[in-house]
Amino acid sequence: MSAYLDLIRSHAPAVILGALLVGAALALATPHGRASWALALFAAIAAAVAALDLSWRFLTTGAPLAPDAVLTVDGVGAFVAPLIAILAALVILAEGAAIRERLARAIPFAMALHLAGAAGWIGALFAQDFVGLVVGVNVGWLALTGLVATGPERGGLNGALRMLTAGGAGAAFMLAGVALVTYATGSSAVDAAARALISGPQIATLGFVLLLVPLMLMAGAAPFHGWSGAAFGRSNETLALTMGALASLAVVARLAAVAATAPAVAESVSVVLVSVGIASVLIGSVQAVGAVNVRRLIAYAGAAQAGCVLVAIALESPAGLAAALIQLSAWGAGAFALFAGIAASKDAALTALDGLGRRAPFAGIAITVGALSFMGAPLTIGLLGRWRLIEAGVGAGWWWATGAAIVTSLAAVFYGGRLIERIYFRRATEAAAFDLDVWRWARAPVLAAAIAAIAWGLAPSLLLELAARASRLALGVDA
Amino acid sequence: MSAQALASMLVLGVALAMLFAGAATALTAANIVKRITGVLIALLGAVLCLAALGAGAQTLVAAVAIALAYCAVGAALLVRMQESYGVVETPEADKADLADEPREPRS
Repeated sequence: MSAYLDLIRSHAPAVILGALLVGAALALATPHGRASWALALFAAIAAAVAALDLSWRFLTTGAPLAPDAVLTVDGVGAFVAPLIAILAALVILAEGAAIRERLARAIPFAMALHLAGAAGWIGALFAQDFVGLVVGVNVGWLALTGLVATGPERGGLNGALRMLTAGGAGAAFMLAGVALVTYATGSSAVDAAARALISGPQIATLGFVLLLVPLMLMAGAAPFHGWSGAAFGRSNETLALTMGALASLAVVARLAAVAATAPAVAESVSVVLVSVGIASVLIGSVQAVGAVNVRRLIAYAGAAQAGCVLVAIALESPAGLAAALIQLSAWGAGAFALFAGIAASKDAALTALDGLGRRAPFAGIAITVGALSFMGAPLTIGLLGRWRLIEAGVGAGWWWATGAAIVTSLAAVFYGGRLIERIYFRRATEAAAFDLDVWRWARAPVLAAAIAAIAWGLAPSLLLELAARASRLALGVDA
Repeated sequence: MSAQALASMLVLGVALAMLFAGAATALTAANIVKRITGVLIALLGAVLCLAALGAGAQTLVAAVAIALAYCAVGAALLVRMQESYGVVETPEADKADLADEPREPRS
């Protein structure tokens, strides 16, 4: 028994992808909506457990994989893969509350797309070569596009079209990037790119930039976020889209860590990341302050958060990468708390939140905690991310990076404060539509998990330690 | 420069032209069919770029698979948008979406 367990553990990345893909196939083949949902949930939980085990063993003891394993794990993959798997399980769990709003025949497709998307993003984090990475990213993106398109609202189709065209153009540039990096380094293996004696640094740099820009587009970072307002605002897939954004940024972090070990390309890649990061903080913050649709507000706030993550990644240091990983966790927890709280009301308009604190106290608390985390308020995980970014920036002499963190927090005080003010200091002007179905309780664990994750800011030592270890492993500092 | 190198350079030039022209069409065209065609052209340009720079067969097959996947999802979206909105122009679909959204009451 123990030998079998060891065998499974030594091929953990393949087991995680296998659980998700087999689950997707079974969910697709199950015609009954609830049965398909239950199967998908089981597969996602199994993958999350396997990912947590892999992450814990890799980050605490450095347990190696089998030498013939077809997939690989680095620090970023080990830290983010369980985060993505857990978020996927929570997204599918929350789907239980909204499942009847979909067309009955679309439910198995939606469940399969959730699992296939998670498999794509995690596959991109575990891929050994650039081709696998690009295939994984595009599987994840197309699955998200399909999810947005199969939603109950007609506007989702328009959002999905924007995702398809932006992602398609991005995929073309990524493939061109793979061609250039492979040509310059002589190998398509990700690890080899780090070790290679690069013959054409300019070609390799251009290749890395062509790989990174579409990923930033998929993460919803401004100014490449033309698709996000339509996709977030006109569909109900905010959680899945947030998960995709987190995974895209994790792949950016993985590629930046590889670029950081190749001095010929490191500086140029850093400049590109910083430029987009600062633009994203400024544009995302302004748009979030002006948003009147809560789903769009989450999209624009996400652009500002993505900007902070990009600035942290651009530092190309263990402290910067650790700050980026913590900010990814904080963003995920904050977005999940906001969305799950807002889902209590069936309307995405800002006015639907009026008086929500009296009508749905638990949802009101979740939105408040999520907003506070986005602001970087003390005792929340959001503060940890900002603090680590400032610490890493000051340590590297990038004092202005502090400005990015402050602008993001100040803008979050405006839009987050507006949410809190509507929830607790206004009366509902009209009867709000509420979900009274018993399945609405499927959202409760998502709310609880998000609040608990944000409260991780109270005792963060384990999270900080794991993020620091993951970043050192990714950059090969103490591999 | 040998004839083979010259041919590779020529193919690379054509590939890059296809890549940029396709991407520009995909991101700016008003007509949905043109947008999806733009995506396909950009992806075919990327496949040519890979071939011109000597990528292996495995990479080329993966790139063609990605192009086909985008083409299939794009075709499905085109049909669904035509069914739902009755239009194939994105500005008209945007207008219909704006009309669907409830107006924000002033507070």
